[in-house]
Amino acid sequence: MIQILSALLGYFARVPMAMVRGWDRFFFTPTDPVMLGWIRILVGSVLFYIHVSSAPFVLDFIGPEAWVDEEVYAELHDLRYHPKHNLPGNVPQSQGDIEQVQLKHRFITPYGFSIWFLINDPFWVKVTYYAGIVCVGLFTLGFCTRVTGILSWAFHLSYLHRSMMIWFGMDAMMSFMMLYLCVGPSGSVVSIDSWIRRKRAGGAASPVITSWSANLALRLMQVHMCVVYFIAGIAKLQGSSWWNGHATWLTMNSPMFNEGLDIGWLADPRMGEWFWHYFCFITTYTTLAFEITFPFLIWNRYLRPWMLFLAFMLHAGIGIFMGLGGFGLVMLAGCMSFIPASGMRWVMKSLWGERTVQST
Amino acid sequence: MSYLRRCFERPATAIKILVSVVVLFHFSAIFSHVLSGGGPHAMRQLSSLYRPYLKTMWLDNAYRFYAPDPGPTEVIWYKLLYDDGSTRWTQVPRREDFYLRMPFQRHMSIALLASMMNEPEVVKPKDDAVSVASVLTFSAPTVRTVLTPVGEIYFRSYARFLGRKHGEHPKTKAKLVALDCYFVHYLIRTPKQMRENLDMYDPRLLKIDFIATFTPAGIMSNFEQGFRERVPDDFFVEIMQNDLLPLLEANRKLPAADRLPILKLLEEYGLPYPLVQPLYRLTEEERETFFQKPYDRDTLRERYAVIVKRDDRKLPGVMQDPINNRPDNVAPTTNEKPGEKTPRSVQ
Repeated sequence: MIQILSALLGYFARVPMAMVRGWDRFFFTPTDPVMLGWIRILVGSVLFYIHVSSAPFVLDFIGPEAWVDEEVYAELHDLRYHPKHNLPGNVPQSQGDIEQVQLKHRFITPYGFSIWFLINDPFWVKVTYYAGIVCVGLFTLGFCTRVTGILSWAFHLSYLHRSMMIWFGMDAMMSFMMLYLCVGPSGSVVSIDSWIRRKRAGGAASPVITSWSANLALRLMQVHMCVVYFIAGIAKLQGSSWWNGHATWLTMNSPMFNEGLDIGWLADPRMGEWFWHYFCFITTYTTLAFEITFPFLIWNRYLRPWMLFLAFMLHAGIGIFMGLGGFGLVMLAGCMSFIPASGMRWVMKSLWGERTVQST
Repeated sequence: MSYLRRCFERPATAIKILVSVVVLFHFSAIFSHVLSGGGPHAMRQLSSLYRPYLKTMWLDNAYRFYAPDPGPTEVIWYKLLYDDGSTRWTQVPRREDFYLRMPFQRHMSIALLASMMNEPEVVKPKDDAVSVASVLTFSAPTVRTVLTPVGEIYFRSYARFLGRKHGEHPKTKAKLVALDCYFVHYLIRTPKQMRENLDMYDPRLLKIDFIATFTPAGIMSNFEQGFRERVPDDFFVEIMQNDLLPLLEANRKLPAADRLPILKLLEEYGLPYPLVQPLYRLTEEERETFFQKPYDRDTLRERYAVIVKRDDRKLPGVMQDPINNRPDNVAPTTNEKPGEKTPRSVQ
């Protein structure tokens, strides 16, 4: 009996230590930041495209005469006094009522800061916006990456907080990817910074400087991607179209998302009466299976390439049929965090004979 | 310097603890948020505590992409009314205004996010026989859809934006006095409808709701009855009788050299594409015939129904709609009650 109890106690004493060691190994093991460098290039390029392509419309989104103009701030601020957000007759009915009102107040209170809350003159709005684009460009190229990374992230957040009503899923992905790129040394490889460093060292082969913050940034991306896919997957289980296998039909045929891409072949009777159904059933259930199992299977080294291939197919499909290429690329950048650094180094070496020296 | 370098390679325990606390805070905030929508009350409470952090960092997305079901595409139509009695139309967004996809996508978000700005509101029963009978018959109060308070603020701002952009009629220089706002769902074709040769923008796939009238200064009126659904063919006939025919008549009176083709005239008028989509399939002569007298409502409605269905393919036998198990061309909707007759098809 005593032996059993001591074994149990020993087990419970070892569990916390094992967890701490596991946590330490997971987040703080120094790693090669090469993947972070490539993710920076991809995410930075998408961010650069987002802002350059929208530059002609900058005053439609930010500034005094935007879709959401400056009068909106004051009106939103006063919203908490709107009769619909207060108790009937301002008399608390119960503790539950009070809690509901407090919750509503919290949810309608605007948070976040934008430089364009302060700068409202159209000329200076444009100047600051173009400066932000330059900053994103420098970040993508990896010049003064620590500084330009934080500025690019702040620039994009500022843009979203000010424009308020023009965001979509891509921005949610972009905000956390940029945050994690600021955490790690994303400019220490494949960047102007590393080129300058090499020049200063007389052109010698660049050593691989492993860093715990690179690992931390990659781990944060990995965990966040798992959350995104898992939640996206289980939320779909509430929808009938995901159960009956017609969801991909609906996504591929969305007016204005699908820009004239002819998918008439899918429903063509010559392909078979139910061809469209089997096609949509397979793609719908593959999507569901991929998203729900992603956080479990992606950690397995043998299944990882398959999961990454499925991620590529999913986002390529979304990009082609729904025109959401930017969203797909940012998601794929997140998935890149699962590619081991050694694999990427091997690819770089195979492609252009990259010279590196292991320093640790 | 070497200490700093060591810190980068192997952090001190204190730094590890600090970073771990931040990571735990960060992910607990994200977990509480993604689980709060429709989740337990405790999660909602917890999420509201993290809300300032999540909002500030733009991390307050629930990541429920295309869930529970991929829905129809939403756009906003505006009828612009000028002080000389003339009208024009505009749509948010219009693809032809953007060369690249991204700015179009940004404008599309304005309309898509607007779909989250309405809510049901219980109509206070009036003290008359009809209201009492309604309450007694259905044992439930009448409900109408209205803009949320946040929605009112944004829609007023959109009206001000359009007021600035379209303040003057491009030809007559008349001043803009009001904007009628419509919220429009482009429903998605079923495979059966695709086989029947329905276009993605067929008017039978439209669900049109009138929201309110706005002044260019953003003052809202005509909203008391809540959202009012408009039947596409009736709606088209109304626009034709009130606005299009006078334009066409005026165009016909012009010398032949100055006369505009009908399609060009419609493009300048800005009538949203799905409403005039059947007209695009006609030849110029057929279009001329379409706009000939008589102009009474029933004739126009019948003519419109004919051109809408003109290119429909007859399928062999009676085929159930495989997506919705519906027997005819009724488009799928998200909020239609079983057995409810939909008014949107061109009969």
